[in-house]
Amino acid sequence: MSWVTRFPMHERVMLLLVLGIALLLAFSAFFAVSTVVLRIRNDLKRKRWAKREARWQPILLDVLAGEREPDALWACVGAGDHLYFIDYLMRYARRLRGEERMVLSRLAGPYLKDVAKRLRRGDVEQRARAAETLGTLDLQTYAAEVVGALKDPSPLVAMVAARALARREHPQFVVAVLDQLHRFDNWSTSFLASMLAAVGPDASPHLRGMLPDRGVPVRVRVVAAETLARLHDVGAADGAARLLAEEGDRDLLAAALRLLGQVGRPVHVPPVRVLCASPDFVVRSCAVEILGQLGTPEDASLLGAAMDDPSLWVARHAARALQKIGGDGALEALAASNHPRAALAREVLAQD
Amino acid sequence: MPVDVGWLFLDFFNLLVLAYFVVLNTFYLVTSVFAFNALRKYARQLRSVDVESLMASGAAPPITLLAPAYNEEATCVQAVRSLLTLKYPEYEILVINDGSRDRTLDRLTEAFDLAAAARAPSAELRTAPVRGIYHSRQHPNLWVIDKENGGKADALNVGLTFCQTPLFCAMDADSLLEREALMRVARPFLEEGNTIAAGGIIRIVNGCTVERGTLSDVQLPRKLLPQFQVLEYLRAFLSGRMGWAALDATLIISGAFGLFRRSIVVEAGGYTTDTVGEDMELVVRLHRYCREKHIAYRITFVPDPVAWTECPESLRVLGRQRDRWQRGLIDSLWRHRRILLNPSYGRIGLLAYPYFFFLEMLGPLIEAAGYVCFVITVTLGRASESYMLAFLMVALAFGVALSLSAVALEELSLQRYPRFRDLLHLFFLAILENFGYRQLCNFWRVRGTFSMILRRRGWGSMERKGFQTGKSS
Repeated sequence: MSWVTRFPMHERVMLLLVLGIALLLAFSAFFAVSTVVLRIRNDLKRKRWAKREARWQPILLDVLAGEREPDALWACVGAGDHLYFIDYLMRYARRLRGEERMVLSRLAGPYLKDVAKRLRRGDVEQRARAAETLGTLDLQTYAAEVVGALKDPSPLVAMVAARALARREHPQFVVAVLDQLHRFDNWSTSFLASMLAAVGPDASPHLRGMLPDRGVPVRVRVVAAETLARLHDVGAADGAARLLAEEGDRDLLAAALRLLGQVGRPVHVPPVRVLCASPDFVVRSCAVEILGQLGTPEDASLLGAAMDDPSLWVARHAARALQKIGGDGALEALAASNHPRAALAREVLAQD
Repeated sequence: MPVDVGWLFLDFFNLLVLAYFVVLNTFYLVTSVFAFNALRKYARQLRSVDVESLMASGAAPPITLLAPAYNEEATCVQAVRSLLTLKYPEYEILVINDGSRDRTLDRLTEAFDLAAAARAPSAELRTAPVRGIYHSRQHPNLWVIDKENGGKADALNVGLTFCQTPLFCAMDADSLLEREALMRVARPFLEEGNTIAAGGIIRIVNGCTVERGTLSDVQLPRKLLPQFQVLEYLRAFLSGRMGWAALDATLIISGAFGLFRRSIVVEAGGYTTDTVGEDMELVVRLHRYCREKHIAYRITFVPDPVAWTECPESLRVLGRQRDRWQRGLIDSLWRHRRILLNPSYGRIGLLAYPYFFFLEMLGPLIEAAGYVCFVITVTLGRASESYMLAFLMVALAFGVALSLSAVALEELSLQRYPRFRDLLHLFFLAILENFGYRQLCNFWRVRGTFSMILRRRGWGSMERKGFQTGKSS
């Protein structure tokens, strides 16, 4: 840099500024050129895609209809098109089921090895996509890889793998998924419950076992209770009722109450009544709601009192519960009065 | 001697202005870099996680759309029709007629067969009186609440009071949501249980064609003023908000489209009614509330759920809008100044807040004074070549580079403007906006700052033309 020192100070500053402007102009030019290149590349890609798809589609439809053999389509897939072809099949795979899905799996077969490589070596998004693809197109062959992805360092990959494994057609993987459930802390419990419920009744025995197990994280037990509720698992009712008496966690109590709301019987009502006086308004609100499903006209006074609850949510559930147990008379009286919750009573009656 | 002091002050101030531009543009550059990375990641994630199947899984939380309407007779029916076509498993629409003086309520009643109905509140927030509640006989998920005028924040509070779902979406009644917008903006709530708010991107609908409540053709507006705003919005959302979200320091969610967890907003007291920047104020308050109560939370931004909105086409209306935005910004930042440089608020207190406080709030004053000083310095012949070059570099070249980077980000991720000529035109705008438009916006922001200091109130009305429904000629 000795040449720089040959310049006087103010010229050095000038030089620096000129360089700065040149750099910024170069940046600007770079952004402009790269945007144009991106646009041209994207347009070309789209056109190439459209051309390929136009070639593949009639053959694919013939293969799905059983009128042509898969070889006819494979012959049209170029050496550099393997992953494009898999993406193309994935779009159909999301919509098709049964026999047609099996045809798609067969068509994808020769190219899935490339996808499996990505599951091991790709970056996070590539691994997630690979797990989704393998799980959708050929879980039988690549089960070990997808189960392995449950332990991927990325929670996104693990979740995609869990979703691929939690399916009614493959109940054998439910234990592997349940073992990793604690990793999905960020995902909402209702989402996890919905994912597990997709396995169907085969998941129930495992979930029932988790419900009272204090060695299992509370959040996982909440998910178990919510899943059992979605599965309408009658066998879980007694366990849920026991939880009401033994546990104190708000989310667990609420989940157990919702489970009883689905599968409970009159014999399970007493602990629900007790929780109508819980100091926690969330628990109170759930208990009142469930009392509306399991209770009898004798619960009308309890529910009537809940209409005065400081929480508007408890009152709202109480109004609906009153209606469900046949307490319309009490509601009508309330609606006609100057009671602060009269509007609520009117709303619930209008929904009838 | 006084002349020397004057020159000294001028030189010092010129340096201050240059430093301000350097710091401001460096912040923009840093957020753009973070945004680039986050957008790339997001686009690839979208391919690995099928949003539709996520939502079809039965886990999608029910949402209430809160659409405050004030004198929206031109657009309200079409906007509500558009809301009714959204793709989402379970949602309710609450249009809150904020004491409109035009025929907004009549239009809605005629179009959707509204009838008086009972609906009890689910929260207790102080609001202007409700005059009537109406339920559509055609669409069971559409309700209209007619209330006395109290401003947008008050209307949103009324909506919150009657909201019965765990999430609510605050929006403008004249905004047009894309059909998948709710699905996409709700995704963070599924993926991260502690998400309490998520914002979406706002784009300019002027120039686009809307058919049956859906956008059928996207193109740049024909007038120059809205065109500049298209570029501004791209820069603000793709470079700015995306970058701040990547830094986990989102401080603004646009009032035109944001999804919130109802319970936490109610706990925090709902919207503040004595401010014109209720959207930013709420987000800042949520940060403060959660940090002070030690509640784990996340506030984020999702780049592709799009709400399209009409932007001002006249200088007068645009000036009023920018004046209001600046007042809202100052009001929100001043109310919560306790956060400024306070380590207990984490990167919000140490990074985002100082940026908005010193560069966005005080910046327009420095910038405006900088332009004046520049003119004085040049006129009096005191401007050295190096000063002129430096000013050119930080005030113009940097700005052009940043605007072009926003266009590049758009092309990299979302590509909403399909015409090649629109893309080239955006390049042209990126240069042109630095000669007049940017200075004009700065002037309005300075005016807003003085209005705030003088405690002038008022929203300034927006003149709506309604969406363009035919093919543009």
